[in-house]
Amino acid sequence: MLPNRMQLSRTVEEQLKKLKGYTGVTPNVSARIAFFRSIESDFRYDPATEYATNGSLTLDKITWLGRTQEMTELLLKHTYPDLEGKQLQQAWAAHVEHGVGNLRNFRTLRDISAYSIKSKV
Amino acid sequence: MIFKKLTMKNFRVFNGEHSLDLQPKKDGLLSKPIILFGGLNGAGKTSILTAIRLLLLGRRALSSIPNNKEYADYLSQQLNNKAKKEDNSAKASISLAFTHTHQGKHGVFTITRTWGVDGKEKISFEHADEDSNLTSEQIQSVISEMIPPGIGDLFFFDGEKIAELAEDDTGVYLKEAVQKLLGLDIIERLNIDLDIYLNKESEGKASATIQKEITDLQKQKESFKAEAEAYKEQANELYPKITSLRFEMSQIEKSIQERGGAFAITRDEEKGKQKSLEREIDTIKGKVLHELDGAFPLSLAPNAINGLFQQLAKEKELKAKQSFNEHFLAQTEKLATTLSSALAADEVQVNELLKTYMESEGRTNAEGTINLDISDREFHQLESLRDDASESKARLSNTLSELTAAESDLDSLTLRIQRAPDEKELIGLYERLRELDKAVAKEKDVYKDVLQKAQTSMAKALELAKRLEKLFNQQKNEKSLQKAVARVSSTQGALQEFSKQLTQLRVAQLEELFALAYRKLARKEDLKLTAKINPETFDVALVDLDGMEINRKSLSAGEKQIFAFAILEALGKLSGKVLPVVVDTPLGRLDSKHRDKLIKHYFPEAGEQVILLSTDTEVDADFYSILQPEVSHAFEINFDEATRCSSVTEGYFWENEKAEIA
Repeated sequence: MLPNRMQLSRTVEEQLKKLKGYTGVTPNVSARIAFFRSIESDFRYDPATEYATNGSLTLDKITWLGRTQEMTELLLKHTYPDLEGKQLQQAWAAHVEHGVGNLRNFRTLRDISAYSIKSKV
Repeated sequence: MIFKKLTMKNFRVFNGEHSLDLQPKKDGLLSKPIILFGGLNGAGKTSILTAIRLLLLGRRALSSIPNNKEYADYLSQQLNNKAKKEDNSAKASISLAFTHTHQGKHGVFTITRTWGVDGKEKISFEHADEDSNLTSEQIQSVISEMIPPGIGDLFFFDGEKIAELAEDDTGVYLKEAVQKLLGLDIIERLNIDLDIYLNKESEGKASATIQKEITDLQKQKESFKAEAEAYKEQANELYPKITSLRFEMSQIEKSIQERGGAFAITRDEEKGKQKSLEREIDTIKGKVLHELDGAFPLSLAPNAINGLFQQLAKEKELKAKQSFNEHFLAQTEKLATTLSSALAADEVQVNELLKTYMESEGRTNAEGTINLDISDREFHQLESLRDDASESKARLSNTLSELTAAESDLDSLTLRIQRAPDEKELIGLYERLRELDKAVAKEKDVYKDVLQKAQTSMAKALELAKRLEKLFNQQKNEKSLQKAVARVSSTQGALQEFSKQLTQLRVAQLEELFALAYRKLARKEDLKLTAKINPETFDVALVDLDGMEINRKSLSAGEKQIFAFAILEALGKLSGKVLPVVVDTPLGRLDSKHRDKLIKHYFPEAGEQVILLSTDTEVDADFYSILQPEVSHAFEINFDEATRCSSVTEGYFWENEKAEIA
């Protein structure tokens, strides 16, 4: 399962912080949205590439994931049955980075949440 | 009256001195009345007409009677430009010698008017026999006696402008002239003189007390009148103040309107609304964030989660089977014993059979692996979380539409607040408006007050006038006056009657003469026309065969000119005044037929002396040959472009050419 303390890549971290400035949605919440958007898509993390999780924001797993923790871990495990620990955390970070792609351009809370609701039924 | 010699010095286009002999020559017993001047446009024909008019009419020669300064300006403009340039103290002078019978004396008179750049005029008047030391005013009045001012326009005129005479239906042009020419003005003057006599008589005869009362009352009346006038004037001055205040008020009202005054009133209220809306939006945003922070993100990956649940369900089934197998295996030996004894079969064989079955079953089970391995409790928790997520999504959707509505409300509210000006900004304007309102009310009161005063003064003056009238009547009734009054009133009655009769007679004569003159000058088709002259306004109307009046406004310019000439001829004949006729641009607007008539019938008979000022297209070669027997002599005026001055030579256009060819 995921390690207890997790980080993102620095660029994604910056993007999430900016997003918080615009919309008020905290990085952990936007990371969750980004993750679920990404896991629903065809994107898959390739463990062969080394993914840098060099962000400065080191948080508890429970803080990062909240109520979605169990589902996140299960989805990751389900999708990547062969990965464990650190590698699984990198897969999560990669999904967040992938999913934040569209979100980072939103400027208001209304826009970001409206977009979230509309995207795929 | 015959003009003998006209001398002009530095007058208008004429630089230096020019003398013109105007005396008509006689050919044996036949008189040749026409003196013909030829000149192109701008040569100076009108200058000659102006000189004659100025000499005889003075300031009345101008179309509107000017005051001293205007007259001086006018005169200084008439000074020749070249002479003015060469010598700043140059003088202009015009002088006319004419024969006339004045106060029983027949002789040659010479009028000279001289002025300098300042336009100050000096008039001298010489009679052949005696020197007269008269002042300018006296001289002017002597000249006016010879040529009454109203008549000048009828004898010395511009042919084109005289058409105005025909257009005028108010009688302004004709009335004075006709009255003077027909001697009707003398009767009027007599009437006025009688009134003056009566008033003087009554004043002198009135008793001293009444007289004193009268003078007192008159003084009082005058002072009241003056007072009323002063108040009226004051009121007139006050009125613009009110209007300007009102104007300022309307400006301010407009600018308040422009700045959205109506919005300002609700501004505070709306600011409150804005705050509560902002709070509401914050709350909604909190709700949204709360939803986002919960299970909602799960709803973003429905397919992935479905896949996961399938897997979990499969694992659950697998686990159930495994545990069943385990239990079953554990019971196999016991089961084999029970079965073999019940079926009377070989226990070992049965046991074998069961094991084989379990193994093959176990193999199929081994195809699924248990990776995720969660408990049933966890599974149910996940399921309820998934449901939470979809509920959360529905809630978020509602909350979002709330947010959208609230935000758009806020937007429009903010816009309204922005449009509304700051109340402080308007306060100044509203205050000014109130001030102005008060000021207007005050001014209005003052205005009304002044008007009231004017009315009161006027009423007092009227009252006094009534009393004065009574006093006058009282005086008239006094014995010593009765006789005079009776005499005067009977004389006045007689005069009035006489004036009426005389006017009627004169008007009838004038109508006849006019019709005669008009028929002579007009085309054939107009020959049946007669004239009707209103004896009160002296307005002349043309009447056609059926007795219908012809509207003069519908006459053409040329016809009007003919009409005017006819009036002039008729008046000239009726008055019996023998004045020379001077016509400038006589044929300007006329067609060939009318020109013909005028040349043949009017000019040769218009007077003993007819001075025509004409261009080469008006009196052209043909007309000249028709006129020639009547022409005493002719002049040609030449304008020199180089000096911008004119000179006069004897002869007419073609005569000179002939002379040159010869």
